[in-house]
Amino acid sequence: MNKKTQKPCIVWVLQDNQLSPIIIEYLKLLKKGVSKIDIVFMIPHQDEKAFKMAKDLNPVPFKVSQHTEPRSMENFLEKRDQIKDAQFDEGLKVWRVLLADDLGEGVISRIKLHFDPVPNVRGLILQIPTPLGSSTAEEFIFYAWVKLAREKKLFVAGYELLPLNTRWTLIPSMVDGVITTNEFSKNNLEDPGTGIKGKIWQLPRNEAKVFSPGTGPLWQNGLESPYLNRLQHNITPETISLYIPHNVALGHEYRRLLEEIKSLGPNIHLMFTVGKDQIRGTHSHEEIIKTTSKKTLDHFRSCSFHDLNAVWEMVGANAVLACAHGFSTKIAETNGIPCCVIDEYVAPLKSGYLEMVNDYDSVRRFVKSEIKKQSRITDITQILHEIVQNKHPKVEV
Amino acid sequence: MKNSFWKGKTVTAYIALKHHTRFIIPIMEKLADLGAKTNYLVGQAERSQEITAIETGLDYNHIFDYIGPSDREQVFNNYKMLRQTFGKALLEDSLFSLQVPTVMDKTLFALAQEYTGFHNYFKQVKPDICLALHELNRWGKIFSFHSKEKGIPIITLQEGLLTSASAQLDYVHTGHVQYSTLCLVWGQGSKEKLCHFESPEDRLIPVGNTHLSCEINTLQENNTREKKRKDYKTSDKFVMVVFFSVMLPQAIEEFIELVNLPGQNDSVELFFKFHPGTVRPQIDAWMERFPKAAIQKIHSIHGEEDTYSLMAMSDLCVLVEASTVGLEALAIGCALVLLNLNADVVYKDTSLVDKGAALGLTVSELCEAVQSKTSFETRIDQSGVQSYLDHELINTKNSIDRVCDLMNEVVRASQESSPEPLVSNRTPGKDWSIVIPVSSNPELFLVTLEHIALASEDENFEVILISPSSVPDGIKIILDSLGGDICILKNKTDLPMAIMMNKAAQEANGEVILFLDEYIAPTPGWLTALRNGKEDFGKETVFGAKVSNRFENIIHAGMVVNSNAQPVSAYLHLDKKFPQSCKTRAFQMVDFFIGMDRQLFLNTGGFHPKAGRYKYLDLSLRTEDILSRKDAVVYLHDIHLMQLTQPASRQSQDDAVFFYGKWHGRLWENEDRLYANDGISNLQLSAARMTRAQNMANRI
Repeated sequence: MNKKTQKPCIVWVLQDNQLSPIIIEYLKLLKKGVSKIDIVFMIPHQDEKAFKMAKDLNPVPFKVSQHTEPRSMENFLEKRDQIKDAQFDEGLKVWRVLLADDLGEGVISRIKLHFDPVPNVRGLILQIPTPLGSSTAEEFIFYAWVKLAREKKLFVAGYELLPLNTRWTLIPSMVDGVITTNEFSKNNLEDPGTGIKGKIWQLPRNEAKVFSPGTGPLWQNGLESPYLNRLQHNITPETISLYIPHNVALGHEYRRLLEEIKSLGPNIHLMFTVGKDQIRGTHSHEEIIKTTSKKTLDHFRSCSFHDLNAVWEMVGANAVLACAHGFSTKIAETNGIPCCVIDEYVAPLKSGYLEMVNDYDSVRRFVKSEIKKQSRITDITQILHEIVQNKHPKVEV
Repeated sequence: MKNSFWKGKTVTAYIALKHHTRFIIPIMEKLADLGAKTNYLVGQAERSQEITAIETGLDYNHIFDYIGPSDREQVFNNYKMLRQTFGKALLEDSLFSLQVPTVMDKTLFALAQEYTGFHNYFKQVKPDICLALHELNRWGKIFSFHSKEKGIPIITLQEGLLTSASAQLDYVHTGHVQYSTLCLVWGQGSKEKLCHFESPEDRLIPVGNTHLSCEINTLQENNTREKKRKDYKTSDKFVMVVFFSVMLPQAIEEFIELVNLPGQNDSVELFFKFHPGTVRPQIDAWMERFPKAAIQKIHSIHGEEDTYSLMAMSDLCVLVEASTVGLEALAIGCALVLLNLNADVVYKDTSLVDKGAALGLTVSELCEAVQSKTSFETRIDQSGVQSYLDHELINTKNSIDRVCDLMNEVVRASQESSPEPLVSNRTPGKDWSIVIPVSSNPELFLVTLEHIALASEDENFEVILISPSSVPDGIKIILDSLGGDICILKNKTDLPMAIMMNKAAQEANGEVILFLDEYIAPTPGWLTALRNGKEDFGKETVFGAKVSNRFENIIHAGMVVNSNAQPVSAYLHLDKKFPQSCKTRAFQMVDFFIGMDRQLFLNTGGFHPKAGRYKYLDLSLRTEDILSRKDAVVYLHDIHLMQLTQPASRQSQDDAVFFYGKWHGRLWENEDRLYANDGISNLQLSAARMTRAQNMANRI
């Protein structure tokens, strides 16, 4: 296969500490789903645990060698010269402050990667190490790949696992793109004050939960459903999905709710829950919804109906919108999915991911905020395509 | 013990690890006894500096205590600068990849905070003087920098490892004495070592080891030797202490004979003292490699016993490799052996043996000597020990008093106000008054006078000679033969030269007064150049000149400050015609010669009596202050002066203590800036110096 006919390739580096069952499952799904890009997973050859866990991803091994040069005056001067112009406002040179002690005087260590050539590589994906939670070996490997990407002029993106909305931003500043898992990290890195020049993406919640420690079973069970839902209903990236735990006991309230938010409908896909125990007379639960809100539903981009018991399908929703606090909203609240409950007979409150309101202006505000948030979100598939299409330049240093 | 000087004065010490405190606390306690208020500061480090202060029972502040919400932007700006620097460096090369990037990141952020914290500390507290062990780590460097920035004197001590393994990293010591006002070292040996690595000689003052001096006194007062020998039931035994360095020798075969010694000889008690930097599991693993029965008879000491007590109770101290411990053992009075091992050691330095301060023995030779009850004290050349100690440790008992005295002098200098203006009732009748000291070399003195006469022809001038109370016969003949407008001021009571020069100015009749150093002779046109300078720059200006030596190399072309805050001549040692030196311009200071309006000189108060060899520099800086003008001191490149010979060095540390005590806050590196402004790179300068040296060599 020549280069032109070959699919563009993304190298995704994985290490022992960076894998969990949900990540493996997700990456398998991603590899299958991204048909126009070849994702090559590479793992350090000594990381046996990672190889075992990721065997279905057909990982490619690579080796790492590290060489420490003995102390020398030449090394000391070389290090000094590389940072000789950096100084504090009053003129104190940085090398004078750090070189004799913190930065290891005249000792230099060099790390090198060894692997068989991978054709047509357009970019690298790596997990970003953080100051309060990564292993030394893992970090050296991270650095070696970032350095290699710089030498080969390859785009390198790092993804967040532990929070990036901290004071430390050296690592995010060294990569060309950062894939964050939440708005706080994205906001922090995009703040002009931090001076981070690379592209900052934010993953949708369902993907963010994959790359997050302590993710619960809801997310693993619902891993595939957001993609199926989007495919099936042709949900565009700017559209939000609202999970509506409809209940026939509150038929009027839900009809009213949809009426009140229909002006925002073109940006909304509605995910109604339906239950077999909510068949009334000759009407199924789905029919009841469709009949009572027929004209209103036309204002929305699309809608779908989901088994009330398949609660994991909720993970594909941006938020839950309900007329009473119940099973679905409790699940949502517990799992970090924002939910808004409009109940005119209960006092308003805001606690964690739950917002209880008793006026429709507040509901609209909530929905608008979700639409706005969606505009800042990019899923991994899209990110990979942007990388292989060279949509974002490498960061100048 | 209180005295009035230290009362109301504040002294701040930065401390980090335990070994910092042991050098610093004795000084601080003494100053507190004398009435000073003492503060301790610690920085941010994962190896907690707070623990040092807590365990030592010190009242301290953390530098982060001085950072508030309003500093957030400053901290982030500094961090951004650091992050960009190292982010770029890491991506471009692997030079800084010894640590993982996140560790570096934590360091960078903490550094950004510390920089602001130290800055704020000095804004709030304003101590009279500061103290730190050294300025090689980031905290010591920033502390010293901000202290200097605020014009507060900062005293550093010797980084304790100058005689140990890290001494192999000599180049690291290039910044050992940079922002410090003075660096107080243990002895001449340390001073020489630091001077080899660019430390300014005049700011290095040997005082002894403050910690050791304290320990020696305590060991004697507490009768530690007898007490410890009793505690360990070794009063009638031969006690040998072997000191290991951080890295334990991996080839243990050589040590087996030594380990077996106590088992074979009941009169021998063997102590193994392990370095605090070696972790216990390493020690255990190392010891387990020896026969169990043998190691049971050895006292294995890690932190269980004080090193100095072990030394005091010993009959012989043995070093596995050279280290500071050797010097300390000698100072305490121990006989010392340095093992001559086949195994590799980190620091292979045999100078202790070469200088006769210790015996160099293999393990076998050591065991044999112990078995045969050799008197080590007899075998060791005591004069070698003494001469080694004299060189490495100037003072074993009174160094704390010496340090406190020096700190007193420095504080006085830093807070001294300018001298009162001098009064003179003379009305100028001459254009020029030329003041020169009478030298002790008749021939050169005569040459100087001839040069003055020839170079000043047709000018209305007088010469004032400052003569010592007694002069050699040759000089006397010259002085007796002199005629014309020459006045001789005799220094009958051996007053400092500065006072005599001031008297000369008071007696002078010239409108302009010119001071020439010993053996400095003018060349024709010098007074014309000076007259032109006066016209161009005004009366209220101090003028300096180009001075070259007999090889026509520049020894003065205006004074700049080098990277170690030491005043040096611009373009030193280059050809006197070196193009960039042929530029008249303002400098912060000039040396060797000063020409200025006599009344201006009198108004400044003249030369300071304590300034000694720094008199011209001191006067330059003071005049700049009085006139509040950055261009008050001007180097006139077309005044050419010759140094006929280099005068014998009359080094006095008192004038250095005064000068740096007073002006250190004003001496900031500007040498490289001058060269950059002149469009000349360090590489070009080095090449020019090499060429010049080659020319000199060819000429010889």
